[in-house]
Amino acid sequence: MATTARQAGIQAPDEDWVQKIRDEIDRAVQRSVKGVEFLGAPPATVGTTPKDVLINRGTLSLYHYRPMASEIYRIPLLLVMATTNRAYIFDLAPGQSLVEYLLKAGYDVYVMDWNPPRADEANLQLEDYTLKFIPECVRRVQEDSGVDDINIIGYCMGGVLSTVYAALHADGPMQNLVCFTTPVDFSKMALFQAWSDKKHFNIDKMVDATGIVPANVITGGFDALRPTGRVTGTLRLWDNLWNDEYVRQYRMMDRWGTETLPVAGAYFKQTIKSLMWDNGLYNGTLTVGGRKVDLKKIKVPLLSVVAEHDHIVPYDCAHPLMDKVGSTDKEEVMLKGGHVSLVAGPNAVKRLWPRLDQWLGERST
Amino acid sequence: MAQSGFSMLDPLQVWRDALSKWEGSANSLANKEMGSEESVRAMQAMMSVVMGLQQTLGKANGVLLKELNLPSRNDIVEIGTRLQRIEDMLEQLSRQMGNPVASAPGSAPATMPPRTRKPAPVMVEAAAAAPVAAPEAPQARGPTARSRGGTGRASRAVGAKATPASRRSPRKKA
Repeated sequence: MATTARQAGIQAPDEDWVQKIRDEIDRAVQRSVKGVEFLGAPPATVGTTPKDVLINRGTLSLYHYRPMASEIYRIPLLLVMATTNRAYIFDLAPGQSLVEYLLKAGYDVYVMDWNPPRADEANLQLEDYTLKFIPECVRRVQEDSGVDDINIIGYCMGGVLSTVYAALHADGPMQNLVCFTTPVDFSKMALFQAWSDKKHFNIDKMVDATGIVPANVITGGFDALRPTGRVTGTLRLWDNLWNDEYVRQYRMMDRWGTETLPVAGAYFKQTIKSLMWDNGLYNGTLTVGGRKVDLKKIKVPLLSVVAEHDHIVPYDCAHPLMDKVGSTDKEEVMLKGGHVSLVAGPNAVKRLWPRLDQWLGERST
Repeated sequence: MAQSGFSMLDPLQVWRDALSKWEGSANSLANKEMGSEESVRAMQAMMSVVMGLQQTLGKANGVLLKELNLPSRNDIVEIGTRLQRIEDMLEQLSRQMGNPVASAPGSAPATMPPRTRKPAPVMVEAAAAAPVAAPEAPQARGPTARSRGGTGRASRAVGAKATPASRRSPRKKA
């Protein structure tokens, strides 16, 4: 009788209760066992896609990932990571790696990654990132691939650097620009604006004292945007300790979050003064290497991807890029997710990556 | 019916819902508070004090280490910088010899695949119709302006016929 009811999709309430209680007891046991394993586990393995290191000098690294397709697109692709974090967010694990996805889709992938700046790099500025590092990597990609054209993807501040590079090299080899959650109108970053208010925040004193801004200052700023994040994250981890896949994801993302990078003091100062205080990228007053950064000079096709629940770079902060650039072929896509889950994790696999491939594939021939 | 009844009485589910609600409201409240001028002033004052303390402690530690004839952090950093310079020179030499600096485990590809790939329209259409991709379409705000594309499909058709793989643009400076 019970079998017939189950087959018909109807469960008796008692049977349902018993099963649920059994499941919960099983999960409680699993939590205890796996909780102990979790505490003793080594750091999550990340960034395993085979690659060659083309540049590893001070704060700058350039990787070339080995192709995974029998035929690749003509134009190589360079990913520019944000200066505050490691680029393995693009290559977390097999099956959860944007790099692997792109390689399998036939792209020739290069990634600009950052190491903690050395003591003698405390004076690095926007000029170094946009007029030296990116052009050097572009040249290296050209040499390595034998192709002059290049497509660039920038993530967060990596998007800002790519955008400034694009504006200052309007006749350069870049053919297409993709920006993930890239801030342009810094006046819309309400909390960061309040915290860096020049009435109270003496940036010169801070940078003079530290030289290189420590990673905990950067992490503290991000954490303060979601003050409950660590507590709720830990509670949710406990709730899901029985779920191996959840724990695996958590460990990878946790490792990435805790490996936030320190930032060169002069670059940090410039970011606060020129971008936060003067809103120079939006107002058109930003000057890099004595040249005004005019976003209207960007004429290449542009894809700007923003996250619906981005607490770091809200929509209003990223959206003006669309109006400011001179490109006629431009598209903005808003996808569900947050600042990080947009590019990595199970939802990115379903949302951003196919959308990116669809846009970029036809422009990579 | 039975399931919804259970959910209502499921203490863990109630706890999960409460946690989500608390998270949202606590973050929103905290953000409001932390954005106020008083909080910002207090935060900056605290940061100033902490940094001042760090500097004073750093100087005191430097004196102590010197007395104990031990290297300070700055000494170690300086040695690290010198080592890094040596590594940089090795990298330059390695590049001049035509070798990448380092490689990840795994066999290096003997030759690069041909750069002849073109997007396959059939596959793209299939992807667009896939269940995972379908819900994304309404969420996207869509093109702000597209001079070349129009609808996604028209754009793809143009893209598929675009630049021949063999074409190379004139060399441009990075």
